[in-house]
Amino acid sequence: MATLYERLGGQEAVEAAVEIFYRKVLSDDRISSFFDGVDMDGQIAKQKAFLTMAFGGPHNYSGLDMREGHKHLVEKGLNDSHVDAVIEDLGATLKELGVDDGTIGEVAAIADSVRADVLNK
Amino acid sequence: MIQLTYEGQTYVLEQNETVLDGLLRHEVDASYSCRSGACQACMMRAVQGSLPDASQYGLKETLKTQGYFLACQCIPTENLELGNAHIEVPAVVKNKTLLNNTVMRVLLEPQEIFDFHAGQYIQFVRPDGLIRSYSIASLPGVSIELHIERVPNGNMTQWIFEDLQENTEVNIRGPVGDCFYVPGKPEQSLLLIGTATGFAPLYGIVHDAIKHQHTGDIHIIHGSTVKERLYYVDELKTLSEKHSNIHYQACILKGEEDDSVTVGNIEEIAHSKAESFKNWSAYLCGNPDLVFALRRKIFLKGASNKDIFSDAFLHTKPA
Repeated sequence: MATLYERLGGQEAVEAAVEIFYRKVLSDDRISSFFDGVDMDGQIAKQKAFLTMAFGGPHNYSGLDMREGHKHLVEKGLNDSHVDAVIEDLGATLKELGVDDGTIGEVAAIADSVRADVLNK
Repeated sequence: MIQLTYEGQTYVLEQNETVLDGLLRHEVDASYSCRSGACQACMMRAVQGSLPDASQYGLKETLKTQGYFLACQCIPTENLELGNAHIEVPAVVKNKTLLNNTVMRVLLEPQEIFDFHAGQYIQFVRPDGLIRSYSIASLPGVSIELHIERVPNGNMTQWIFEDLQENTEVNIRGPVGDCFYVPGKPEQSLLLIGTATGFAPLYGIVHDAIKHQHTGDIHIIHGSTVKERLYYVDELKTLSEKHSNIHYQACILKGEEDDSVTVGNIEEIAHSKAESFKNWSAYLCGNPDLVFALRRKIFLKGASNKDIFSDAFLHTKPA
């Protein structure tokens, strides 16, 4: 039985999704200020890593990595509503790519599973 | 038996071992993070040896051309030499010409082979060791052309404008930079935007595109504060008359509009070129605030980040 990552299309799916996702995030007034910065190449690389993880793909992020990585944003006010917005934009991206709702739900669940770490709770 | 050469040492890789795993096994301090080919923390450069496609997946074409790859995804099929490929060579100043009150064109003749892509930059090393970076406005040939803008109280530019004599020998290091033309999509629309001497790399890039017989539309916008700070206006008019796919627009913020210059905001002019920049490539050089703002907007208007090349000119902070 194919894994979620395989069903989505693996690395190529991440490649296809990342720019669509990043454009949504940059245009989403609820969260775009967290992406203010000049290193677009670096931010896109981080989004690729995030999507790889959310798609059930290989990654090496520990809970501690997620906590430390988002600590400065939590200090700037990052909260549940922002995590919700990101998951919503991720869902919209997958819908645009023709992914079915059930699979979108699986991806959202993985993304949601790191909520506590991201929010340093 | 695959061998890696890195920082003067040779390491043997095990069967099917990635470059990253091999280096770490030999206790080399190699960077990494996701180990899944996504985050690019493990990016390295091969100066010798061919790279498997999987090891360059997702990288910008200009990085691929220069041999950059992801160490965690690289299982080499032949020996690789890892490193930087930056060299330092002496170069003789052959010519110094003022293009306007604030911009000097300097032609340098490297004394040893120095390969580069038009649009990359070099580190210009003065005889006393002071270093500044300048973009290459020419194609590889006999001389390297630089467009140097005078910086108020600028240590290097004051010397270049006032003291530098022809036939002086300096050193150049490099080439550095990812802002250059990559052949392969000759019909693609290109958007080249530069402020002040941000025009220098674009001048090189447009000639590179022509040399590779680019057929797609090439839009060049050269912006400055006032008309006196523009240069090469006639050269670009001639170029656009000669090649029907080249569209040149010089624009200034303040002053009188005439048949060679528009008055206006460079961002608005850029946006007016198309409804969507999907499948376009963009080259953005010069003023950092403008470069970063344009990069984001052009991306949001459909261009792939992989097709956006930028070179923000940052001045050296006074000590």
